[in-house]
Amino acid sequence: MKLFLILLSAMLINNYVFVRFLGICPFLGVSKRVSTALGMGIAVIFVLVMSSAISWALDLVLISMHLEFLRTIVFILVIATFVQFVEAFLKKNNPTLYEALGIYLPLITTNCIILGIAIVNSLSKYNLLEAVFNALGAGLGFLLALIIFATIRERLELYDIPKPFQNLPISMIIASLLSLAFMGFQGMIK
Amino acid sequence: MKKETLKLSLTLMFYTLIAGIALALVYQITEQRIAEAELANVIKSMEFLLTDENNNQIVDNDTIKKLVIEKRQESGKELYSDGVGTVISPVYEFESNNVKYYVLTGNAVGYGGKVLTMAAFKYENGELSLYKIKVLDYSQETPGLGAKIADGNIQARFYPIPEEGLKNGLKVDKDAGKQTIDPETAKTEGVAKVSDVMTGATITPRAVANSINAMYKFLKEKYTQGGGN
Amino acid sequence: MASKISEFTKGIIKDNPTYVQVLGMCPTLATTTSAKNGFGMGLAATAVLVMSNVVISSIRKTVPEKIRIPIFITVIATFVTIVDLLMHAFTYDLWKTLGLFIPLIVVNCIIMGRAEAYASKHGVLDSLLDGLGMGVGFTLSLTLLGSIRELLGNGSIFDITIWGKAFNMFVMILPPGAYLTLGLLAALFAAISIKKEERAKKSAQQAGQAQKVGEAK
Repeated sequence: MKLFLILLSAMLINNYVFVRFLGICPFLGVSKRVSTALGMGIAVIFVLVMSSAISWALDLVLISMHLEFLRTIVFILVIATFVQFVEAFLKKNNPTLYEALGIYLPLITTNCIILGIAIVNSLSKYNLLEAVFNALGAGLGFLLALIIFATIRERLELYDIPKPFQNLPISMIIASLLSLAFMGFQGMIK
Repeated sequence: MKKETLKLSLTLMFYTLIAGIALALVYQITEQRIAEAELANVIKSMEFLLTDENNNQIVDNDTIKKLVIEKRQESGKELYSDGVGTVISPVYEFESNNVKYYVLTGNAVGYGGKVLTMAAFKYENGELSLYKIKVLDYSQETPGLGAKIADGNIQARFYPIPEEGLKNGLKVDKDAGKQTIDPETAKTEGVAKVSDVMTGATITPRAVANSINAMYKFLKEKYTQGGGN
Repeated sequence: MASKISEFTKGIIKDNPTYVQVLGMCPTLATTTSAKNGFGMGLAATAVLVMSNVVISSIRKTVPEKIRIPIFITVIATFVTIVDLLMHAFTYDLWKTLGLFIPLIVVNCIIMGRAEAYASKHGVLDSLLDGLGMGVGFTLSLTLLGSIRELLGNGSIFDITIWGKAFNMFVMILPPGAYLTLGLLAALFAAISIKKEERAKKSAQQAGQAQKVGEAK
């Protein structure tokens, strides 16, 4: 039950994009088409879950050796390595997706959600299952946010937006409305 | 190809090694200072807790400092849990004018994580009451909503509570169904009136109440029932 | 010398990392609940940016191309950890407030972006100036955003009460307010630069016409 709550919390109530402000950078680049958004979201979920599991294990080693101050370095290197693997894998097995994601694939490394979750898991002292569910929830929340955003932006292309508002400004304003909507989830878990 | 990969890996390891050494150095330099900063934070909170309404120190700062430093090794351990709230070691005991004061820390699950509260309880003439609290860690709560618990005026809604109010468990006014009560009467009835200042955020103050209840039960069981330690 | 100064100033308006380049969004929204927090975050990021730019620039000729990204990451992560430790030791309250976002400086795209786009291709002094400029631009952006949110949401700036509880748009301190303020400020920046462009085009046209008239004469 607790696992389900952790997942729900990470996905909706404390949605990492609209409430906790993580994972925003790829938003503007990847959310133009629903198909790219979907691919990116799934890739992020995969990297999130796997890297948080590996980071969790390594964190135990670090703690036992009193080397907590190496946490940031170790975590980010794990993430970077993992993304390299995913890149190589996609290039060979799904070149269309690889092309579609383009520059944004290596940029998953710098997606603050991934490092953020690894650190949150460590600080909250979650066990392996809790850590993985937290990562899964965050990833699903990210995917959700990305898809909602992409569908809106696809529609927006048909409209005439005043020049100063194009791209970043209008996206931010949409995000603020979505964030307002997501705040409705507060208090869902008693 | 293999030779190139080997060379690259070695280069990478070399840079990582240098980074590791640099970090270890900085860590050595700052380790002491960090421990002092953390300790200073605990001491500052305790000094606040042990100051009365007229800004007089109930227990002087030197005594506080000595006890905190003495007990620093045993901090962070779970002493007791009632299922919702947990008490964390150590427990500090002070005496002033034949009144005993207990300062301890407790946590409970809030909105996004654990909310940590330090509380001072007063034991006088056989009555164990809540004297003062300070919420130490609310970093996982929502800024602007649950995180408003940081406000000292809001925290003041939680104290002082006589034993009459603590025995059946301190509750947030929403949980007690007493939203129309005024803050001072609420305290005598074991209710923390917060719904007027923390609208839409019940989970965080509830966590504070839960940790206070755990601390009360723990003190009652371990310290005052058995005639004090 | 003029070019050295422009290396520094370009990060403040023309290539402002927040409103123009759209980098470093995460801390921008999360840490700007007050002017002080935004300012503190900006300073911490600037420190890391300058130090990593300098180091990466100095090793740029010895780093093998294939593994440059992991090495850059290692350098940046090292400086972030150093800043984290120093803040924990010397600026405890600010450290506690910024919390998770200090280690997240590692993935702040501004730092990685400048390392890859600039420091790895320019000399140490230029990289230092570039880092400093971008950092100052970033800090100013954060402080501006934080001041607006704090003013509208709390009636104060840098903890100095301006109009206090008299007028509070509470939503400004919450997430939606962050996005909204950022969007409007970005629109403002865009509008200013569009105006500048139009003016420059106009004067170029006029200059061209004047020349033609002059030649015709």
